[in-house]
Amino acid sequence: MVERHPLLKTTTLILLVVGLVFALGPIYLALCSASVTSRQILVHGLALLPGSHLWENLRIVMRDARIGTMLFNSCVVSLIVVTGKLALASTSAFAVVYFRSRIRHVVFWGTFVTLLLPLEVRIVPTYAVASDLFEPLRRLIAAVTGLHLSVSINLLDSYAGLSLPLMASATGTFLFRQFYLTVPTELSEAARMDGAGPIRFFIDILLPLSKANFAALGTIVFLGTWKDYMWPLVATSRPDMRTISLGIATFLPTETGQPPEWNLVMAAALIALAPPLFVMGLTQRWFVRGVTGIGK
Amino acid sequence: MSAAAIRVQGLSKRFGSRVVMNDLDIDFAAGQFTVVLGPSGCGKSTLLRSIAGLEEADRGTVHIGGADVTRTPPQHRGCAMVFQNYALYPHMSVSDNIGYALKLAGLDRKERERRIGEAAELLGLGALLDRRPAQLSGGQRQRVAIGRAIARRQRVLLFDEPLSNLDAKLRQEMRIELRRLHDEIGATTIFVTHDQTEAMTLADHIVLLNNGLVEQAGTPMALYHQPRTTFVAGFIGTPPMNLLTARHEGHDIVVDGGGCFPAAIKANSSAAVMIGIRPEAIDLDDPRGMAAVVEAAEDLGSHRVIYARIGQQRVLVTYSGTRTYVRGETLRLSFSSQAICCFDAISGERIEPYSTRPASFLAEGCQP
Repeated sequence: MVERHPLLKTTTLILLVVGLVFALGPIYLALCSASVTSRQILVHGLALLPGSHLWENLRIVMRDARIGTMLFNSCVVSLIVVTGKLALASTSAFAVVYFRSRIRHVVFWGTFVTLLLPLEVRIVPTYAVASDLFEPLRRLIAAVTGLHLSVSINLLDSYAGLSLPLMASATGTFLFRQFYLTVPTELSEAARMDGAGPIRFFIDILLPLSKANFAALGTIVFLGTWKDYMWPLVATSRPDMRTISLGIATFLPTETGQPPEWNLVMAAALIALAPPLFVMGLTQRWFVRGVTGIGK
Repeated sequence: MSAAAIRVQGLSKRFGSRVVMNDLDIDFAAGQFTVVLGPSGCGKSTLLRSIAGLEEADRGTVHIGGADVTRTPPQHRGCAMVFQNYALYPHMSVSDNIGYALKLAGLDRKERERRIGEAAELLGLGALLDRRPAQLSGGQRQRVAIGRAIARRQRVLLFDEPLSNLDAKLRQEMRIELRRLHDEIGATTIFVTHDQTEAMTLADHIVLLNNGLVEQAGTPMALYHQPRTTFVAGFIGTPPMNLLTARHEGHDIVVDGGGCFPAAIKANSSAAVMIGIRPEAIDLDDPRGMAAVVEAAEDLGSHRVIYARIGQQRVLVTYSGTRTYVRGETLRLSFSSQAICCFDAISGERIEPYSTRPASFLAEGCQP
C-alpha cells in the first residue's frame, strides 16, 4: 500500500532525514572531535566542524601497542562467537524441526525461554561458573559420593571465557527454525528418496539454502559481540585480554591530575568502528535478504 | 533395470480418528502402469507414501519384488518418486538435481554424466542442464523431476499427482510422454491422481480408492463399462455415468419419472434400484423413447452435451450429430438394455441381471 500524496511524501522524507541525523550525528561528532587537538576540545567542547589533526591523532592512537592487541582480541572473540553461535543455532534448529521426538517441543520452548535471561541478568552466576568451571559438578559429586575433586578450570582472562557465555542463543535457533519451517517438506522427502541421510540433507540442501540466514545472523552476532562491554569488563582483568570496546576507555587518564585527551578517545572509537563496517559491507547484500526472508 | 511386483497386505493407517487406509490388500503387477485413483482424502497419497517408505502404516506389510520392506528406510526400497510440487533442489542446476542421487550412490563422474545425458535426452532437457529450477517453467520443472527419478534406474517409479500443477494442454502432452517413457523403461509404475482422465489414458490397471477402501480394481475399460458401485460409475468418465432412480417390478425396471424396460435382476420385487447409463449410450431421437425436457446444451464443437430432465431426474446426453437442441425442447430417450448397469439403491453395489432381452429398447410403457 503505497500512497502517492505530496504531503505524505514530504513527511516521510522529513522522518527519514531526522532518523539519519540521529544515526549519523554521533559519528560525525566523533569524526570532527577526532580531528582537532586535545586543547581545542578542552576549550570549546566537542568539535562541530572537522579540524586538520585527524591523521595525527589516528597515528598517535595506532602507535600505541595496546590498540593492536585489543583489536586482535575483539576479532578473535567475535569470530569464535559467530562461528559457535551459527553452528549451534543451525544444528539445534535442524534437530527441533526435522526430528520427531516427544521432547522436541520441550527442548524448543526451553531454548526459547532463555531469551528471558540475557547475559546481563545472569552475570553473577556466569562469572562464578567461568571462574571455576567444575564448581557445580564438584559440588554435585561431593553431595552424592562424598568425594572432593580438586580439578578446576578458570576461564577468566581467556578467549574461551570471553566467548563461550555469549554463544548459546535462542534468537539464532528461532531464526533458523522459522526458515527451516518454510522449506517444503517434499524437499526433505526427495532427499530421503535420493538416499541422503539427515547429515547429508543438512549439508547438501539446507546449508546452501540458508546462506542468507547465516549471513544475517552472523552479521548481527558479530556486531553484538564486537560492541559488548559488560562481559569483557567482568571477565577480564589482564590488560592484554581486553577487547577494543573496553579499550577505548583506557585512553582516558587514570590519575585525576592528567587532562583527558578526548581527541584520542574519539580517534580510537573511529578505529574500533572500522572492522564492523568492513563486515557489514561484506555481508550487506545477504544481510538484507536474510532479514527480510527473501533469501530462498 | 528390472521391474518388481509390489504387494501391500492389510495396510491400515489412521490420522487421529480419521481412517485413511482401511486394511488395504493390493497387488501391483511387475512392469505395469497402475494408476491409484480417488477423490481427495481417499488415502491414495498415503498408500503411495507407505510404499515409498515416507509414511509408516499402523498395520500391514509392503513387499517389493518379493522382499518384505515394511521396515526398510526409503533409500533402500528401490523406489524413485516424483512429487506433486516437483521438490527440486532450488540451489542446484538441472544436471546436479538429476545427478544428486547418483552421486550419493557412489557412481563415478563418467557414469553419472552418461545417465544424466540419457535422462535429459529422453525428456528433451538437453539445453536446460545448466539452469536452476527457478529459471524453468512448470512443465520443464516437472520434466526435471521425472528425469531425476528415471536416472536412478530403480525397479519402481512412484508418481504423486505429478501433473496437477500443470495447465490442461501441458498435462495432455505429459500424459502421452509419461506413457511413452513407461513403455521404454518398463519399471513398475504407480501413479496417484484424482483425475480420471489421467487414469483412463495412462493406466494398464486402475485401483479406485474411496474412504480408505478399494472401491474397484481393474482395467480402465472394466471400470468404465462394468462399474462395481455407483461411486465408480459416478467417478469414471467425463461426463460421468447417469444414475437414475428406478424400481424393480416383476421383470421390468421402471424409471422414476417415466419409462421402463424389461430386465430380470436378482432383487426383490418393487425394490428401489439405480440404473446407470453412459451419456454416449443414449439415443435421443427414438419415437418410442421416454420423454425428457432439454435444460441446457453445451456445444463443444466435436460433440454436444445436453442436460435434460426425466421427471425430477437430471440426464446428460452426449451427441455428435449436427442438429442443435434448445432449452424446453422434448427429447425421446432410449438405450439398449445391455448398455445399462443396475445398482442396489441402498448399498450402491452393482446387481448383475441374469436375463436381459437383447435389443429391447426403453419405451413409454413396457410391453407384456
